[in-house]
Amino acid sequence: MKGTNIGEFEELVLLTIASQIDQAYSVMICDEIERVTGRKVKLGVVHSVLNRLEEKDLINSRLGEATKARGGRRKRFFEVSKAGKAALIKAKEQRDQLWNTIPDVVFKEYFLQF
Amino acid sequence: MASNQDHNQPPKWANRLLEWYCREDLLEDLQGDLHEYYDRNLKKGRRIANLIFIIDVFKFFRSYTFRKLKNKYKMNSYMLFKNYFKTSVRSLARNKLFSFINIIGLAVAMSVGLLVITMIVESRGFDTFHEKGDHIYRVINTRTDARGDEFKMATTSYFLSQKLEDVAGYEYKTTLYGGFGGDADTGNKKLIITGLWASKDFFKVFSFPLIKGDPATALAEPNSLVITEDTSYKLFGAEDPMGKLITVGEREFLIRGVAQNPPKNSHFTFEALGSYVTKVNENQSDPDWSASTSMWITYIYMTIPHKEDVNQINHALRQICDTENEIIAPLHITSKLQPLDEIFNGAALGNQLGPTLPSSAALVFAILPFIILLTACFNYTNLSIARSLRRTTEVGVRKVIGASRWNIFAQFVIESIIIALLALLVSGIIYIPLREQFLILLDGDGLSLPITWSVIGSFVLFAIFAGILASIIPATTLSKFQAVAVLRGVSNVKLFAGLTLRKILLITQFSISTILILGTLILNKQYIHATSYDLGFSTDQILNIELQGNNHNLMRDAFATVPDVKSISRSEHILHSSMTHLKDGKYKDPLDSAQVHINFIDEFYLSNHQFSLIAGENFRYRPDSAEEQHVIVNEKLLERFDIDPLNALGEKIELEDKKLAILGVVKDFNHSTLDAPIEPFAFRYDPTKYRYLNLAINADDYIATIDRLEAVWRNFDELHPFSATFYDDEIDRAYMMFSMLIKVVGFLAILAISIAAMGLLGMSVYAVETRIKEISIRKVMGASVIKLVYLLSKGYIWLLVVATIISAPLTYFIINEMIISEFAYLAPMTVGDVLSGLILVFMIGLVMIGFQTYRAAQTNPAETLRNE
Repeated sequence: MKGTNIGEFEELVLLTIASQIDQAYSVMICDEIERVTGRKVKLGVVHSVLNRLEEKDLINSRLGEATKARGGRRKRFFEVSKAGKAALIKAKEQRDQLWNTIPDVVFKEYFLQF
Repeated sequence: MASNQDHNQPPKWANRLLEWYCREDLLEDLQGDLHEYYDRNLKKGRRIANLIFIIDVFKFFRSYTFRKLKNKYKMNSYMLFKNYFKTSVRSLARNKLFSFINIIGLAVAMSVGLLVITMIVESRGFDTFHEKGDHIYRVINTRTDARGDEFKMATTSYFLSQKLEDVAGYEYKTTLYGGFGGDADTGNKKLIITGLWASKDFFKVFSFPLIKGDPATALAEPNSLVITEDTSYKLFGAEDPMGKLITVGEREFLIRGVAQNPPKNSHFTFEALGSYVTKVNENQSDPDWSASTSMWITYIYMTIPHKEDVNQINHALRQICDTENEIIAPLHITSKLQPLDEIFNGAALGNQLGPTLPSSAALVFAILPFIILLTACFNYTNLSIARSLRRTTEVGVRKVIGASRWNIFAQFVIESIIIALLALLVSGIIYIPLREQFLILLDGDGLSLPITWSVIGSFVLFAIFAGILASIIPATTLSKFQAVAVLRGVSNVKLFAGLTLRKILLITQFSISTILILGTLILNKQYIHATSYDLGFSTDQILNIELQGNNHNLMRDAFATVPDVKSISRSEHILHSSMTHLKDGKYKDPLDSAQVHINFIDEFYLSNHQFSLIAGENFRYRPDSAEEQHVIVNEKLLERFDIDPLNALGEKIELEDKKLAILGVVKDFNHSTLDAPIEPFAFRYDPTKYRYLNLAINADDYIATIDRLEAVWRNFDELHPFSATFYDDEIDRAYMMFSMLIKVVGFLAILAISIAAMGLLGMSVYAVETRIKEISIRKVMGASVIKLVYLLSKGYIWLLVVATIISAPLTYFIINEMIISEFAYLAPMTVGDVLSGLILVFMIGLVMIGFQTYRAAQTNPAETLRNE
């Protein structure tokens, strides 16, 4: 039911976490998404998405070591859970399937421009 | 170092807010994130970083970050409350008419309560600004005369002030003497000022801060004056008044201090203070001044730091009085201390320094609105119980699910509190104009009824109180239902539980309304009687003009030139409206003295006011300088001294050490308001005492005439405002308290009857609703509309009759006790008065019931029976 399909932004966040093995935490996820997509990402949005993903068991989290930065507060690191990986693969497969069904003609003009 | 680190920290309060609301498992990480951003933003400036941090803290206030209530019980009661609130609002919305009656009824009753609360809150704040407030005491006195009449007063004597010099136990003492003031003249500017004579330690006892001058010495020397900021500004503008000479009345003063304007919440205020020692020096040789019986204008205040010493000083006062009482017998004076906080709200005393709100008056003001509030609560009780049947199932289901009796009770109390709070909003709308009206009624007498936060807080508490009061009975009844009995079928519940109670409440409501209405009618009759009473002399078309220190001869001659002025007389007092002087009078027996009312008049006074001279003759013109020889008395005086009326002329009466021969005798007349009996009275002739001109006027256009008179006045006196009042208005004013009482009681009566009428309306709507099928069937069977109306309303008519039987004798009793004992000359209360009041109440009741029942009887039976 709900939870097997993930939204576009959720997917972005999941992918980012997956790409930053063991190093993904909220602020850096924000920065990374901003860097790749070029769009402004609010911490609040990322935070609530992280919270939702965790509730859906798509990601796991653990607290890191205390450092002097961040006013002495620990970071919460995220990793993609088994279910999360399955969801990502499912999303990718669905897309690939769709890509594969598109006849070459459709993108012919687009490619020619380059 | 620490401060440097502090500089790079986000605002603490925002951090704490985050810690407060955020779930623990999310907190650390989120806080860290925000800190990281904060550090980044510091590049843009600390202020912007702070701002972003604060905004973020607020933005993270979301459902998932919010801390769930830890305690299971807490959560439960929170949910329950939410549920109560919801059901209450729904039930309110469902029964619009009943909610309306309840809310409006409560609102009307509460608006008066709010007024009382404002008044009480304000009066509690009186005299609280004195630093030594807890230690300030005033000497108060009870004077008992030979007849045993007691007069309690706030004033005492110079004599006692002197005696207290030798008594130990107090820290500072100040003696005040009333009536300071008059025309202040700086040479450039004139102003009328009022104030007090005050002795040197005035500023040590009271906290009236001085802006300029030394509080220790400002009033120490004779002819010293302290003025307030306002007075200083009016007299000198921006100039420094210190050390300036100024004339007040006939005396010269040196200004030695400027005081802050006295605050409004003080039991006395002043525009200027003259040094008391000035007054003492002037009167040193006058034996009257230092007599212990001259106790009408002097006040003594002192600070007593230790509570133990209060008793000691009281004891000393008793001893002083005991010794003195032997000398002044049969007069008897007792003195004691009164703490400052009991002055404004304490026992009613004569000769107060300023306006006060005696506790007895405050009590009446508080009780009447409480009664009105009760009647509104009765409405709520009645309607809730009547409608309780509708909600039995709800109660039953709740109980089955596991609600305790207490839960159900709480639910209905909360529902009632919600209604009361809604009523509070509505009553606010009524309260605002009511407050304005009340202020006009009070005529700026000390109270200004400010609306402060503490007043508003008290309002809310009051509404909650009203809510609880209204709901106690219905909540008890409803929570008593047995779940099983209720759910098995409504018929198992005692249908008319509380029916007797409802009847009693309705009867009480209508009795209260009837009493108030009858009271108003009778008071009004009394007022009309008092103001149109034949006093024994004529006040018709007489205009009294206050001389205010101007020469009476000059003024009289000036006014005499104005057309429409028929004749002019002069007098010291205006009879009936103001107090006359009371002096001890003696006849032959030097030991037998009686109090005699005195008015100084001229030779035109008696004819001008159409007094009837039954023997002897009127005064004749006498130059100002000639010796006073004659007196004109009333019959009561002859009676009192056992003088034979036939041989009274020429007999000598001793007044103020003067032997005056009786020149004439006037028929008895009412010299005071009708609450006082006619007493011995003497007219004397002394041109130095005149304070009023009495102008008999015969004009078509009074306003034009008064304008002309005022123009004449302006030629003589630019300083004092022209003060002229028609004698009849003056008399009306003497009964001001009375007309105020009528307005207040009348207003409450209107409120009570409207609330009762609304309650009756609600009850009859309910009765019709529950019996609509019965009515329809009866109608089908052939009952006439009139019969149906009679059937439906007969129960209520009985209630009205019972209420009447209870209230009419009760009113008679209360009025007799309160008014008849006060008034010496009373309008008789007739059966007609009572009947008219009763008919009014009855009519209102009948209209309320009749309207509903008639409508029900008119409905088409098919409409209601079709569904069966």
